[in-house]
Amino acid sequence: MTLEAEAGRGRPGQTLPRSYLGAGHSVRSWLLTTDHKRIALLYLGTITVFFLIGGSAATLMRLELVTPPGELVSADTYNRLFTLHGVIMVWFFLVPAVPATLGNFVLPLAIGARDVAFPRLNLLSWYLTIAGGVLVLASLLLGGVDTGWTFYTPYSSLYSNSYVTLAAMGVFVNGFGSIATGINFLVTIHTQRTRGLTWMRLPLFVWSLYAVSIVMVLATPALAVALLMVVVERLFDLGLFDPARGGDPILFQHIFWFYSHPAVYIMILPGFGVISEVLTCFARRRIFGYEAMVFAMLAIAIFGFFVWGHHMFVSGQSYYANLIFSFLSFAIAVPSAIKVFNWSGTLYGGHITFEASMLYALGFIGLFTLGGLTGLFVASVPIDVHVTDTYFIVAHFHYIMVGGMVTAFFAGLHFWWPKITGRLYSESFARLAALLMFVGFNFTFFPQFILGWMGMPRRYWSYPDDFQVLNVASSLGAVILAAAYLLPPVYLGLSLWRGKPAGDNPWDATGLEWTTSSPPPRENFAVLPVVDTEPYAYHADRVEPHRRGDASHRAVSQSSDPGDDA
Amino acid sequence: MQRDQDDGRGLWLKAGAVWIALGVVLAATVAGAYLAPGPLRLPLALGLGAVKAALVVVVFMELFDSRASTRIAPLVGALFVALLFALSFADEATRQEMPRSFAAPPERAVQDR
Amino acid sequence: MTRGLHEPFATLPRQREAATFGIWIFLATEMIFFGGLFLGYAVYRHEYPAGFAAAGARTDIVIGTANTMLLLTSSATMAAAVWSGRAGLRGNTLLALVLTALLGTGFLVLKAVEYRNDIDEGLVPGSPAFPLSEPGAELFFGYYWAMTGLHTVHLVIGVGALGLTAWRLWRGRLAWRGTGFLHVLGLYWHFVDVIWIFLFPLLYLMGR
Repeated sequence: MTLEAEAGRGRPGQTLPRSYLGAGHSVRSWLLTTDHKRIALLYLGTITVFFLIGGSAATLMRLELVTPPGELVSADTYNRLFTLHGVIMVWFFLVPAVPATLGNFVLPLAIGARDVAFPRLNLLSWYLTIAGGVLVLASLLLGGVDTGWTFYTPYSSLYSNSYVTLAAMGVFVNGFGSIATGINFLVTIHTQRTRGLTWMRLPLFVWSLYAVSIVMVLATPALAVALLMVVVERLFDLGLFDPARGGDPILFQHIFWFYSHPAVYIMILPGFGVISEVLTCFARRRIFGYEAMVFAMLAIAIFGFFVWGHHMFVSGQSYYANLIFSFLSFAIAVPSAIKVFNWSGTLYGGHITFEASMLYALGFIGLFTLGGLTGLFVASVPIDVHVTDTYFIVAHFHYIMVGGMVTAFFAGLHFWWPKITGRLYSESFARLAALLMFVGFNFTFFPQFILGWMGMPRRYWSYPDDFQVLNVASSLGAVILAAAYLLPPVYLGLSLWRGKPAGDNPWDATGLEWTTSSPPPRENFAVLPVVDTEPYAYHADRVEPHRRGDASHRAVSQSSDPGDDA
Repeated sequence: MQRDQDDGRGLWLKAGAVWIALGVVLAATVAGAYLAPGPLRLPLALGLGAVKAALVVVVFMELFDSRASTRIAPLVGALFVALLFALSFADEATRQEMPRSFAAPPERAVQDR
Repeated sequence: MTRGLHEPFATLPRQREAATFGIWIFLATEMIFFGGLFLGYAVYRHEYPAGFAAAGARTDIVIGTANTMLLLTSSATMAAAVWSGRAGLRGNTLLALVLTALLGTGFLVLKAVEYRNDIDEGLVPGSPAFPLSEPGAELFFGYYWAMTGLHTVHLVIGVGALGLTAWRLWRGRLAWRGTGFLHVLGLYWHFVDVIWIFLFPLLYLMGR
C-alpha cells in the first residue's frame, strides 16, 4: 500500500502526546466521546464486566454439577443461573464482543477513514447496551429470570413468576444498540472507504463486519418484536400466543429463531474475519481464495436466515417444515467448509510462527470444525430427536460460541492490542494462556458430547450417578478454563505500564491500520492513505513467502520492479 | 425536486395532486370492502394498499431518486419479511393438528413485573 | 466550514447520501419489526377466518377511515415540507411542518377516542365483557391492540420530532439547508404512514 501518511507521521512508537488516549483525561471526555476508538474501549470494559458475571454463573453451575444430587443451589436457583448465563453471554458478551470492540476500533482504521459514518449514533449504541445491561442486572438483583435465554412462550408469557418483563426489556433495548451499530458499519463501509480501496481490496475482517452488520440489521428487529409480544402479553394479557385462546406458542419460536439462528452467525462471522487477518500475518501468506472467502461469508450471512426451524424439530412443527429446514441446514455447511479449507490452504507453504494470536487462530480452526461437524449431526432430524435438549447440544454450541468466537476474540485482542495501547504484552504468558484455554475448553466440553449422547438432559440441576465421572471431568476442565481466562487481564494489564513500546507495526502485517502510529491519533491518519494493491500482499504473486521482518520481498516493494516476479 | 418556482406553488400542487390520487384510492378501498365478492376482498384491499404505498414510496419518499445501494435497502427488508412469512407458513400451513385449547390449563401464577 | 457538516464527511452531498442510506436501512429493520406482528396476524387469520371476520366487523370504520385520510394528508404536507426546504423556502417549510404535526395530533386524538370506545364495548382480550364468542376473535383483538399500539408509539415519536424540528427551524437553530435533515425526518414519517396503509384494511375492512 502506498503510504502518503508516512510523511505526516511522527517518529514510530513515540506518539503518546498525539494519541487518541491523550486527547482528554476527564471522565466526561470518555463518556461523551464520539471517537470510535474510545467507544471501542468503553465496549471492551463493558463486555469484560458482563463476561465475568456470566462466567460466574457458569462456574456455579459446574460446581453444582460435580455431585449427582442437587446440593449447592436449589433447582429454582439453578434455572435462574443458566438463564442469566445465557442472556448475559449471548447478548452482552458474544454479540458485541468482536463487532463493537475490535470492529469499532479497527474498521475505520482498516478502510482509511477518520471515524465511522455516524459517530454520535455509535456512542448511542453503547448507551443502549448499557441501559439494556442495567435492566438485565436489575432483574438479576431482584431475583432473576427462570425461563432460559430463549423466553419460550407460554411459560414466559403466562406462567413464569420471575422478572421476565424486566429482562426482556433489557434485551430489547440492547437490541436497538445492535441495530444502530449494524447501520453505522454498513453506511461506513459504503461511504468511508479511502481512495483506491475498492470492494475486492477490502480486508476480510472488513468484509466480515459488513456481513455481520447485514445480519444484525435484518435479524435483530425480529427479536425485538418477539420479546415485545411476550412483554405486552404479560403486562396487558393480550394473549398473542395463548393456547387457551387458540393461539400458537410455536409461532413465538418462529419469530424468535428468525433472529436467534442468524444471531449465531452474528457471533461467529466476525471471528472468521479476525482469523483471516491473523492466519495470513503469521503464515506470511496471501489468503487462499479471497473471492471465495468473501462470497462464503455473504452466503453464510444470507443462508443463516433459512435454517431457523432446525431448532424446532421436536416443538410440534409440521413434518414438512422439518424436512425443509433439515435440508437447508445441511446446505449452509457448504460455505462454512469453504472457509475452513481456504484457511488450511492459506497455511500451506507459509512461514508459520506461533505467536499467541496465531495459537488462538489455529485453535479456532480445530474447534470451529468440531462444532460445525456436530452441527451436521443435529441438522439431521432423526439424530436431532435423539439429542435435542441434551448436553450434546450444549457441547455443540459451546464449541462454536466459546471454542469459536471467544477464541477468535482473544486472537483479535492479542493481534490488535499493540495497536490499541501502543504496548507489547508478554508473549510467553500469552502463549501459556492460549494453550491453557485450548486444553481447558476441550476438557470442559468434550465430555458433554458423550454425556449428551448417553442421554443426560440439559438444564437439570441433578442427575443419575452414572453420569458423575464425565460431569466431574467437565467441571475440572472448567476450573482450568476459568484460570486461563483470568490470565489475559493480568498480563495485558501489566503491559500497560511495563510493556515495551510496540511501534507502528510489530507483526509486520499488511492492512491500513498498521500504517498509522500506535496508538493512533484522534483523527487516525495525518494524511488519508491511498490503496493500490490487493489485501494481504505478504509476498508477490507466485513467489515463496518470506520470514516475518524480511520485508524486502513484499509485493509492496516489488510493485516498482515487476520483472522480479518470474 | 421543485426548483422551478420559487414561491413554492408548484410543489404544493404536486403534493396536492398525489393527495387527491391517494384519497381516490382510499375511497375505492373502502367501497371494495363492502361491494367486492367475498374471496376477492382481502386481495383487493391489500392490492389497493400497495398502490397507495407505492405512491408514497415513489413520489414522497423518492426511493428511485436515491443511489443504488439505498434503493436496495428496503427491497432487502421486504424480501426478508417475505422469507419470514414463507418459512413460517411452511410450518403453520402444513401443521397436522393445531390444538384449539387445552382442556384444563394449569393455574396461572403471573404477577406482573 | 459549511453549516451542518459533521465529521467524518468531507462534503454535504456525501453526508446527505449517507444519511439517506442509513435511514432507509433503519426503515428496512422497521419493516421486519412490524413484520413479526403481521406474521402473527396472518397465521391466526389463516387458522380462524370466521373469527377474524366477526371481530373485524366490530372495529370503528368511520374513525378508521378518517384517520387513514388524516395520515395520507399528513404525508402530502410532509412531502411539501421537504420540497420547500430543498427550494430554500423557510416560511413554507415551517408552515408545512406545523400542518403535518397538527394532522398527526388529530390522528392521535381520534385514536384515543376510538380506544376509549373499544374499552367501553369490552373489545379487549381477556375482558369479562368481551362480546364475541367465535374462536380467534380474541386473538384478532390481541393483534389489533398490539399493532395499533406499536404504530401509535411510532406516531407519537414522529409528532414529537416534527414539533422539535419546527421549533428549531423557527428559532434558527436547525441546519436545514442542504443537510438532508428534513428528508430523513420525512422518510420516517412516510414510513409510519405506509405501515398504517396496510394496517387499515387488515384491521378495519375485514368482514364488512
